[in-house]
Amino acid sequence: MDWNSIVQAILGVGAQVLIPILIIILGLIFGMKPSKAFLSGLYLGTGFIGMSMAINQLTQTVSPAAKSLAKYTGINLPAVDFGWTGAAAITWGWTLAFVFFLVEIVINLIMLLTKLTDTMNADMWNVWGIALTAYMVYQISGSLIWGFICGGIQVIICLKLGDMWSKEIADMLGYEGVTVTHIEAFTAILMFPVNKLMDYIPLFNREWDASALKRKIGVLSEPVVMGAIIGLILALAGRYNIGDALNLSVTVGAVMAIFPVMAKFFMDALTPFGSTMSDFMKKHVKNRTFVIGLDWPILGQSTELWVTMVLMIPISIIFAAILPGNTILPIAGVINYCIGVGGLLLTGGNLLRMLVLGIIYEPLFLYGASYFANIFTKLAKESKAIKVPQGSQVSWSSIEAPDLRFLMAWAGKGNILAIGGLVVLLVLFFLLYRYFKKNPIPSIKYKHPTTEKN
Amino acid sequence: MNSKTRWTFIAFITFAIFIIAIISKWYWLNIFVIILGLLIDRKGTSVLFPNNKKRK
Repeated sequence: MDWNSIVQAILGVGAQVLIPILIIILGLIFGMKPSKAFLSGLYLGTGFIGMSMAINQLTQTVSPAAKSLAKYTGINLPAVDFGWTGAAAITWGWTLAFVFFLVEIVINLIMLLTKLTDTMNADMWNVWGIALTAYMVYQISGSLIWGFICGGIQVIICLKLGDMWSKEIADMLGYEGVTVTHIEAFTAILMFPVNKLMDYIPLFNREWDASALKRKIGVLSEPVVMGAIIGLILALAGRYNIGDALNLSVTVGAVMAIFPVMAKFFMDALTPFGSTMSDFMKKHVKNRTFVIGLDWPILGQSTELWVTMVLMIPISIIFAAILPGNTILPIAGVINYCIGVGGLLLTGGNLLRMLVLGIIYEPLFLYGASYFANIFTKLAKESKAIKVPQGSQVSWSSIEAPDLRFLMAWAGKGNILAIGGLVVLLVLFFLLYRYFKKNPIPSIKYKHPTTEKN
Repeated sequence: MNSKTRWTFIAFITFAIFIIAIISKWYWLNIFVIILGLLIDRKGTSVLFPNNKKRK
């Protein structure tokens, strides 16, 4: 058995097992009682399982409706969307993928020791995203060394993203001592200039969170109702019969209802863990706070996140149909986490901004997926991890950080424009990082309706 | 049974019904998931997420 098989066997158990085990170990190191540490891990595992099941169910329910809609409207797009699971399968088919655990751990340790980050990344499950970047860059640029350097750059970016979001996550969701290190939040970098422009438009500076929306449009703002309506519209547009349409509608509504329930388990897991870690730091490390990097579903308590992602489903399908040059119909990747998570953290849960940013930036993902279809198809055939249908291509309609991956790959080929673009993107990232260090809670700038009247 | 235990129990039941609905493909069961989910959202949030209330 080689190293890759061993790593794949360990990863085979999934994030819902790996991350809780890491949290139990860290909890014990930080001085939690074994029973409490175990309970925290168990609740975290339950939360991840529940979230994953709900998300998978949402995708599985909506995908056939999207396919049916495409069939009846005559949309014919050659690339098959295999979602993040397909991308992960391809990545683990690469023999060097497991090395990125080492890259992640070494860079994280160096940055912690040199005080360049406060984030300790426990989200080892998503190391595949770093390996995927390196693999794609290697395939396009032909340089394995540049591929590894780009993987390293992504590790640094993820850790700095973790530093950026930690205070906001504590304020918005009440989880002290944890953060999100997922690269999908990198979307916030490109969204940053438009979001900044929105600061000058009064409409976007009002409170547009779920509760404000509830005051404005009442029951229609309930995620359950929105989910059920979107489900029904999709089903009817796909010419489902009434029974199947109602089933789809109820299922999407139920998925929206289950997310806050699952968030309860994250709360029970992360609150005792966060406070123990905070006590440990106060006692043992002066003037230093650490945060633990976790996967994005811990944000699932946010209604704004789910409302945005569900409302973006029909919008992404419409874009797929009308955008010239697009080759992919969102199916397995129809839930665009990058827009949801990036928008949520950038805007502090301002629903209107999240939706407008989502509409502006959705084409980036479709064009990214269309561009990378050749590469993904080649990788899928080489790794034999995914079966490519005869005469078609495969890709990922909500590919994470398509801009970063594209620019890094072409910069490795010596393309001057790509090198320039990469520099601009990294400068933008630096500016957003600095902005968040000064203003860690974006939601405080929004005016409450009663305050506005006064 | 104190209030937190009761709402945690209801959360587990909701999750269990959701899983049964998915596995058995009895999607009509999701109506109960919606009802319980809404109930938790309306009545149980302050008990299940006390920090949120304090922050607000």
